[in-house]
Amino acid sequence: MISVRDLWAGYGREPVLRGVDLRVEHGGFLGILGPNACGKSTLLRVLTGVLRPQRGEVRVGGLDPREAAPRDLARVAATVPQSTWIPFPFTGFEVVMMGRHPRLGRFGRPGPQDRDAVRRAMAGTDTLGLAERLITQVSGGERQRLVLARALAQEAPLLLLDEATAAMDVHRRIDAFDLLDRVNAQGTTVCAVMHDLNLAALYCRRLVFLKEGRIRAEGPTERVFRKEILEAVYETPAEVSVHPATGRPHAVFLPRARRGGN
Amino acid sequence: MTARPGRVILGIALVLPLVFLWAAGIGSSGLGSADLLRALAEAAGLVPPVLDPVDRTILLTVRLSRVCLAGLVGGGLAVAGVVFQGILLNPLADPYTVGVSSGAALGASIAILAGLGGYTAWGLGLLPVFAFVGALAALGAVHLLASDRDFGSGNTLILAGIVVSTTLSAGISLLKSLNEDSVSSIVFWILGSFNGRSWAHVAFSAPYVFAGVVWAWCLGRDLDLLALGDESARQLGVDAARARRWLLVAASVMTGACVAVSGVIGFVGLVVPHLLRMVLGPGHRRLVVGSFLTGASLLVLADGLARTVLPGGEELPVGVVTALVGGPFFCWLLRWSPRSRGAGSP
Repeated sequence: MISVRDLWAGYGREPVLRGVDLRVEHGGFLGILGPNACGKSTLLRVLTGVLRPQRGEVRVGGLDPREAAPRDLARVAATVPQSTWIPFPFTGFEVVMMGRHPRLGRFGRPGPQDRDAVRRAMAGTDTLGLAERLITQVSGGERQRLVLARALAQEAPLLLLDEATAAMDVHRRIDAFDLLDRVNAQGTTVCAVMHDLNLAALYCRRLVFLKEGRIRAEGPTERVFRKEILEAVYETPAEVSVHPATGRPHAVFLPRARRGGN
Repeated sequence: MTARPGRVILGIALVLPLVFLWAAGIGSSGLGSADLLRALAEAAGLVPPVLDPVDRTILLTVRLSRVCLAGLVGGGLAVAGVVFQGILLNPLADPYTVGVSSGAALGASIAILAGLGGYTAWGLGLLPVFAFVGALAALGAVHLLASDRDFGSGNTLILAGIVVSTTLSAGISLLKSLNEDSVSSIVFWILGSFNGRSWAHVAFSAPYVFAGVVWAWCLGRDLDLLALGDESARQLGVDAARARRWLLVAASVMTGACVAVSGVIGFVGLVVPHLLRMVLGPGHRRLVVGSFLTGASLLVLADGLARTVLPGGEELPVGVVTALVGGPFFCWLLRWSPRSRGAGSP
C-alpha cells in the first residue's frame, strides 16, 4: 500500500526526514510514533502530496504523490489532519459530504450513493446527531469525529491519521479506535500518527518509531514496544509490561528523580 | 438553519422579473411596464402590432437593454464577489480587491484623455475595450506578483492587489492632472452609470459574465474545500493553488467585463455575497446562484432609483446610489447582524 525508499524531505534547507525506508502492506494497521519534531507529520504530508520530497521514492497505492493528480490520490488515501478547524459555518453533514468530493465529477451532484456513504460514516462515528449543527459551534472533539467521518466517507483503501483523536474524550477515543479496528478488519489499511503510546500498543499491529528524521525501530508491536526502544526514543526511563486486562504491552514512564530509588 | 436554500433561491428568482418590469417602466416618454410587456408580446408575434414604432424602439432598445445590462453587471459583480471572498478567505474582499477596477479605470481614463470617449462603433465604442484591456493588464500584474511558488495564499494576493491598485490609481491621478478638461468625464465614468448604454454593451459583457458564473458554479465545491486550508483541500482532491489561480482569472475577467461597460459600481460585490451567506450558508454552489439573482435584482433596483430620485428627470450615477445605500447597510451588517446562520441554535 505504501512504499517509501530513502526519503528525504523538509522545509527550506534543513531536512526533517533523513533517509526513511518504510513499507506498509495492504490491510496493515501501523502506528507512527516518536517525539515532537521527529518527522511524523512531515511523513504524512509527503504521502498525501502536500510536501514534495527532496530525495527518494514514494508510492502510495501505486501512485507517486509528486506526479498524481490530487483527485486520484484522494481516492486512494483519506486523511484526518491534525488541525480540524474550519472557519466557515458548514453543517456537520456538509463537512462529511466534502469527503465525497474526489468521487464526484466536475458537474456532478451528490447522489444517493454519496448520501449513503456519508450516513454510514456518520453512524460509525456517532455523529448523526451533529448533522444539522454548524461546524463552528461544535466542540473540538466533536469536530474531530466529524472530520474522521469525512475521511471514512472518502471510502479510500488507505486511511492516514495525524493525531486524529487528540481532542477527544477517553471514551470517544476508544470508540474511534474500535471503529478504525473494524474498518481495518474490512480491508482498509490504517496508518496513524499517535502520541498516546499505550493506545497505539492496544490497536496497532505494527509500530514505527521515528526520531530526528530517521526510523529507530520498526516491526510488530510485541517486538518493538520494548523498554530499551522506548527509553532510547524518548530519553526517559520506562517500564513495559503486558497489561493483564488487554494482553497488550503497556508502558509507564518514570520520573527521572526516582530512578533506581526505593 | 432556518431557511431552506432552495426556497430562498426560488423566491429571489421570482422577484427578479418584477424588478425588471418596474425598472423598465421608468422613463420620460410616458411608457410604463405594461407597454414593455405589450412590446415583448408583439416582438414574439403573440399579439398584432399596434404600438408606435418609436415607442417600440424606446422600450425594446433603450429601456430593455438598460435593465438587462444592469442585471448582468449586478449579477456578475455579486458572483465575482463570492469567488474573491472564497479564494481570499476574507469576507471583506470584493471584486475590486485585487485591483482589476483600477486597471479598468486607468484604461478608460486613457481612452477619455485620447479623445476616444465619444467614439462609437457598432454602438459600443472604444472606451469599454480600453477599460477591459486595462482590467486584464491589472490582472496580469497581480498574477505575476503573486504566482511565485504556490500561487499565493489569500494574503499574498491581497497584498499584490493593493500594490497594483495603488500604482494604477496614481496613474489615473497623473492623467487627471495632465488634462483638467477630462477630469469630470473620468470621475463620472468611474462613478458608474448605465446611461447611454445599448445592446452592444450587453453583448460585449454577457459572454464573460455567463462564462464566469458557470465556471464559478462548476468550481463551487472546490471553493468550499479551499475554506479548509490548502493542505486539507489537497487531501480531499483539490489542487488549491491551481483552483485559486483559475478562479482568480475567471472572477477578474468577469469583473473587468462588468466594469468596462458600467464603471466602478461599488458594494454590490461586497454586500450581496455577505447577505446571501447569512441566509444560504457557506456552500458556494448555492451562493453563486443566489448571488447572481440577488445582485441582478439589486442593481436593476438601484439603477431604477438612480433615475427616479432626483426631480426633473436628472439622473444620479448608479454607483452613488449603491454606495449611499450599501455603505450604511454594510455597517449594520458588521455591527448588529447575527454573525452566522443559525445564530438561534445552540
